[in-house]
Amino acid sequence: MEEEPEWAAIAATRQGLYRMFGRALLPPEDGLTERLRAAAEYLETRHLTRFAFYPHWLAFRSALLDAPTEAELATTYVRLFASGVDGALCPPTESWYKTDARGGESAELVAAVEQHYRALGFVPIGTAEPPDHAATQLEAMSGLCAREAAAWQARQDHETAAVLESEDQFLRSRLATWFGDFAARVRGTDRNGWYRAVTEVVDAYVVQEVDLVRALRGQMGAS
Amino acid sequence: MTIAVLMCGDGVQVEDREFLAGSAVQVIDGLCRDPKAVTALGEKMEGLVLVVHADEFAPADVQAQIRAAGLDPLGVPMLDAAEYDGDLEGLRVAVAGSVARAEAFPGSAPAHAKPVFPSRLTRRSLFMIPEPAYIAAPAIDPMTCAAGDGCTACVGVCPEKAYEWVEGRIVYDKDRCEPCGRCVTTCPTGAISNPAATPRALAAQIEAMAVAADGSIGVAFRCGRAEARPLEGGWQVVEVPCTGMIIAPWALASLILGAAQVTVLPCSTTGCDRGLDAAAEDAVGFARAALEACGVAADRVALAPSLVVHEPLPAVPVDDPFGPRSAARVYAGLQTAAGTDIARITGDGATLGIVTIDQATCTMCTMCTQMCPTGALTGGYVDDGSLAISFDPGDCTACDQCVGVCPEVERGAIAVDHRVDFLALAAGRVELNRSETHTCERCGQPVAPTAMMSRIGDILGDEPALMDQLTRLCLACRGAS
Repeated sequence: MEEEPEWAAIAATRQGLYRMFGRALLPPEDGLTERLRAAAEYLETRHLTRFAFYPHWLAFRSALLDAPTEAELATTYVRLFASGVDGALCPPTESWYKTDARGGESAELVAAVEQHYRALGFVPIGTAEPPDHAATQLEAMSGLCAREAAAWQARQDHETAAVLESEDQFLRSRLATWFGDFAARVRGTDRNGWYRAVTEVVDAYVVQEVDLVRALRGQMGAS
Repeated sequence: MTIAVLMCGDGVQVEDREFLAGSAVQVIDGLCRDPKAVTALGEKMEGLVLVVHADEFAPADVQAQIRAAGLDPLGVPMLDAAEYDGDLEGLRVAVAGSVARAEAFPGSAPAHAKPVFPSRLTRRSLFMIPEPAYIAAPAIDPMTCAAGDGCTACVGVCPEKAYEWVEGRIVYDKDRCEPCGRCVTTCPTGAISNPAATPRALAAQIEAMAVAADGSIGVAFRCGRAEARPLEGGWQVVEVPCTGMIIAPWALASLILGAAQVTVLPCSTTGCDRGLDAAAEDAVGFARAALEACGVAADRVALAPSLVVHEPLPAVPVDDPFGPRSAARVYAGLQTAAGTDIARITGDGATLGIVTIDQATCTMCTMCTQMCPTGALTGGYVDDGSLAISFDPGDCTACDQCVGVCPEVERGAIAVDHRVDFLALAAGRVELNRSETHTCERCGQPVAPTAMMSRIGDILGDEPALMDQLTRLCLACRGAS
């Protein structure tokens, strides 16, 4: 029988998934699809069939095989996420979905996200994307999962519980509150495209994560 | 559609293997202990039915193998091999039903999967948190949900308080939810779905079992959390998330689809552990009343299984008999099957209703029509300029939302009688109330229905000046003056 993975290994796999999905939503760089294919191949060996979102993962892997050329990717990225006649068609930022930019609320929300990162001990560096960008938020979750994996490994129950609480809060107050709307917007705009495949798998993954993290906290005795 | 049926061969006798060799069932030794055979089938199948030993397999392992085979675990019916020990004919019929159910699986969305940790402790789980398996949970389609009109039907029936109405939308807490399906069968618009027990899949399963059986079968709706036990005397299990979700039309629809008898088996011998026994009792009670009214033996539907002694009723084609708002069609089908022509059946489990409006106390505010999730109640101006409220009993699900929103309910302005009224159903849409409208002196637009003006006048009896101001001009002209 396939050996049951332990929670440290599961957390490490989740870390890798967040990181890969975050990269997929950054502006495309040279060799991106090759790197994503390599990452997906590696992650496939990490017991992914034990995750509820696996059917969506299979669809993503299939899309990855037929991913557009890098030039096409770059054009599509700009068209969907970066600019356009009336601005981006599907802005990949939390503030766009939750605030009215004209009222100055966007800046407040972005500042709150930045504050959230600092409270978690993170400082966004090496990225030109705003703090409320999907890729940045996915990277933050990747960082939390890395901490979780280390805490499981060290058998530090309190630390594990604390990290899970941080993940739960971040998902429920940030990523999961708007990513579904973003994915739905991409679905309606990029009907057969690569970014539809990416946002759909990430949406499924985030839904799974919200449920899994809360259930795990419950199992550990959190109220 | 290719549906594979895999059965764990542990404990299966040689003669039984010979019998099964000629069937669609593939017997695989040690399947419960090592479910890799599921994945080995790979792309050769589009669906799967498993016959396993419930106390020997690890759900998370089996689900992983099902996913690896490219299938959705929430769409794989599982039969307990122990339940059919020595009853190969029963197994054959159950497999036919499960295959039909798997074929009708509509697919699930990420929102439908809820992780649950095993309650059974294993030696391994004593030292670590075990891995969760996933069960099917309800999800809401916001496009068809009527919360925007104020509907709170799901909020009212959920025993776990998993639903909350917040500013025109339903907030669903999956953590709280212990999927019982009450919300699914209560939702007036069919906006809530649980892919593990869809109307189409249930109907397909029952119909297939009735066709596959050599004689009469009884359908036993059994709670998904109940321990599997062999049922004697021609009964076949149809698993549902909780028997509290059963409604009278489901019991009757099963009879119309070919089952000779129907029973409801809660999760334990002492009843439903969510306290939903009363809901199941209401459903069974109303189904029995309907049968009796149609001159059919009421004991075809019962709370406990006895021997299956009846012949099936004549099969009657009914479109989507388990679907939302199918009740009127099912009752009409029952009448056809029974060859009777009756007037009405009354009781708490009706799931159909007749709305009555007291013309003396209704102010024609039309909040009931705005609230009505199914459009059974509608309001609008008619040719002579008056405002009318009309009602179509065929669209009413007896959800009582109209009663909840009526500001004059304490004065008896509106009521819903939970009954199946064939005369009313045949009559179709009828006008319940009408009121002339008071028009604005300045612009001629409606100010309010006369009935409402009259009520406001009663309330403002000692303030004639204010009343005069309110009645002469519409809101827009009052603001302009």
